[in-house]
Amino acid sequence: MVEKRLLFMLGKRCYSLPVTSVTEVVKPEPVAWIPRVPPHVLGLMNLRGHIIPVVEGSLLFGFHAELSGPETRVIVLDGGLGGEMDLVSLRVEAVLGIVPMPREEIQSRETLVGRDLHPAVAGISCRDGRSVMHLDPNQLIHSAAPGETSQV
Amino acid sequence: MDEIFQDFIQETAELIAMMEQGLLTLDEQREDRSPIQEIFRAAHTIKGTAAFLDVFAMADVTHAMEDLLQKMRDGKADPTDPAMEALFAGLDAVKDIHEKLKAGQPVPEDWSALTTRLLAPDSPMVDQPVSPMVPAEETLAAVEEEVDQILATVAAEINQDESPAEDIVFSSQPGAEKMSPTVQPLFPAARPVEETIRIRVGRLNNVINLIGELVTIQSGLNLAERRLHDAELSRLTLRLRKVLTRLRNSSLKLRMMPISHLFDRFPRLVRDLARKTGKKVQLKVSGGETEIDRNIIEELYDPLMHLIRNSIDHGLESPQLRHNTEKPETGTVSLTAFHQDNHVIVTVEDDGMGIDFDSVLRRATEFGLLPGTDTSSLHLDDIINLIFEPGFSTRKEVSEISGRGVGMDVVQSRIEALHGAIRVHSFPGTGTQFEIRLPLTLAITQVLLVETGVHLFGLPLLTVLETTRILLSSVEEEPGFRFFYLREEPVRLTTLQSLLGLPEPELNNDLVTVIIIQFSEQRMGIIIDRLAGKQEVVLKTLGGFLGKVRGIMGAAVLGDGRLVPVLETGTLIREHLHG
Repeated sequence: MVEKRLLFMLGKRCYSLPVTSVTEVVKPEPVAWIPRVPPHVLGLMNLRGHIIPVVEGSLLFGFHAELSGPETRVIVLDGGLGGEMDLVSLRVEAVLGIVPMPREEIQSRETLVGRDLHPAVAGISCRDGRSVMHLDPNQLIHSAAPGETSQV
Repeated sequence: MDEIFQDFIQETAELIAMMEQGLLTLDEQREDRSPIQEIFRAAHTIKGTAAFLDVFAMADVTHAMEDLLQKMRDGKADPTDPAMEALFAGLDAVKDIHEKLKAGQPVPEDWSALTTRLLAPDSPMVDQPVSPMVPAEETLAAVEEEVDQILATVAAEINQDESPAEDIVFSSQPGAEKMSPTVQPLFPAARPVEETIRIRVGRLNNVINLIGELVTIQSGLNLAERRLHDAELSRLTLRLRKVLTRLRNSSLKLRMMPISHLFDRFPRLVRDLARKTGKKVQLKVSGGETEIDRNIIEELYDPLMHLIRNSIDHGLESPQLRHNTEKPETGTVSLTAFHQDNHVIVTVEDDGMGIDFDSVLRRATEFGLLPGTDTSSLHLDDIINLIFEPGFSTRKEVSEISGRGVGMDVVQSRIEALHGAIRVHSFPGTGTQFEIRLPLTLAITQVLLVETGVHLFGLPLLTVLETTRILLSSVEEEPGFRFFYLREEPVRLTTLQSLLGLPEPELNNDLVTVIIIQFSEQRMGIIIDRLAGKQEVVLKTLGGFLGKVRGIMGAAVLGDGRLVPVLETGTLIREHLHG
């Protein structure tokens, strides 16, 4: 089985998300900072009248935050519950494109046991000599959400 | 759900309110039997529609009530205490069934204990459970199926174009004339009814939200128009602005309701509480015609109920004590509403003993609310505001009436969630007044825009008392805090950065802008970099991902497309003060 996945860069590494979880990819919009949320939540952006939280991907995965460059993009994700309220977005260093990804090429995260993997990483594969971390969108959103402890 | 069923639910709610009011009037002046007609008519109407929709439980109860009321009307029965209690019990049963139907829950079938009591209220009776058990097998699905069947039958009957008996609950005058003699209501409608149409609240909210969006777009258009200097564009924007202002004003009226819809629910509560506490209480209601957003009315019931319970339970003295202190034995609780500027003020006031400052202080100390505070230095306002602290209650034992684990802190946060504010005034021996200040509507919020560093925030205008400029050199420094004098009164001072946990700014200029925020009974000055005007915005929640962030009410998109978080100043200040 082949799944289409969106490839993007964070901390000079390659990550992917299934395209079915992605609503759109946009250039960065100004972000309004809000208090009392974890540092990886940059704030809110206005996307055609919708208010969408922006998560800084680099900070979420433990890298240094990169300054916004010409390649910076914001991936808008559907939070899964449906409706505009549950859109959330991930700021990434660059979006590489959409590639078909055969399931059998993806190794499960268990093969990397012992490595300190981010909980959102569901699998890994090697593509053109470079490893790609495949993310589970629900786990990604779950790990980024402030949840009960929204105090910094 | 089907329209007919929804209409029945809605109409029954109105009829229940009518019955309640009638019963309360009758209860007070039993020799005057004129309210009986109206109660009878309401019971009769409910009975008819309920039977038609096969809601037999409700039909049975209202039928029994109707019988008793008829006897009273014809002088064959008297409104004795047991008779009135039976009628109130009947009303409670109707309310209960109505609530269950509304919530889609199964309705108990057997009300024979109650109907027997209604048929012979004065005969001695054994204590029987008023509410029979719900048969376990009667699941929600079964009820739904049944309702669907009923509705299918109803639809079929209506399609036959025959008015089935008693399906016309209320009709406007012309329609009433067309009714055949056999289905004439027993009592003709007393007064002409203004023709109305029922709209689902969700649809209405949707329209109002969209108009809110239009207002936002329009302010963006105004900015563009000022930039482009085009005569044609200017003319059109001006026209649009005029029409939009009218559209907005009329759309906001759509959701406005007189606050009497809420106030009418309290006489019964007061009557029951008076009986329970053995106190004599009269409820004075005024300003019921004051109009306010329906969505606010819905949310206001619980806080007001709590305040009224408090007044009767803690505020009013026993008749004996009142007699001894030369007060009238009957205590008064007043519920008042009026418009002030762009707000609605609702007050709950009692002529009881007032808040006992000493016991408030003792209690607060006991609960560790005042660590390391020299209590003798506390201002009366500071003391009285302790009642809004979480977990505070002056009654040692949790009383059955006001003790439900709900404290004044909950009342306060509920009011603040409505973008409102609550204050308390109390005079020992004379009484206590709670004053609630609310916006007219929740559809559009007025915010004051403030800049601090690179950030832009909105503050609900309702909480801002005034803005002023002060000289930093006039600010008094105390260990741990700063204050300044505003018209000879000391006001504590902080910066917006420090409220939000941002690095403290360097204040280079001696002249700084300060906004004065009202929270509870206190004021606080907040230094900001710059005022950026005020704007009407549509407040949106932060959404499911962020959930509720403490100190943030929501966010709004401004006319120029910028997005601002709107701050909950009360929460921010309280957390700042209490660490």
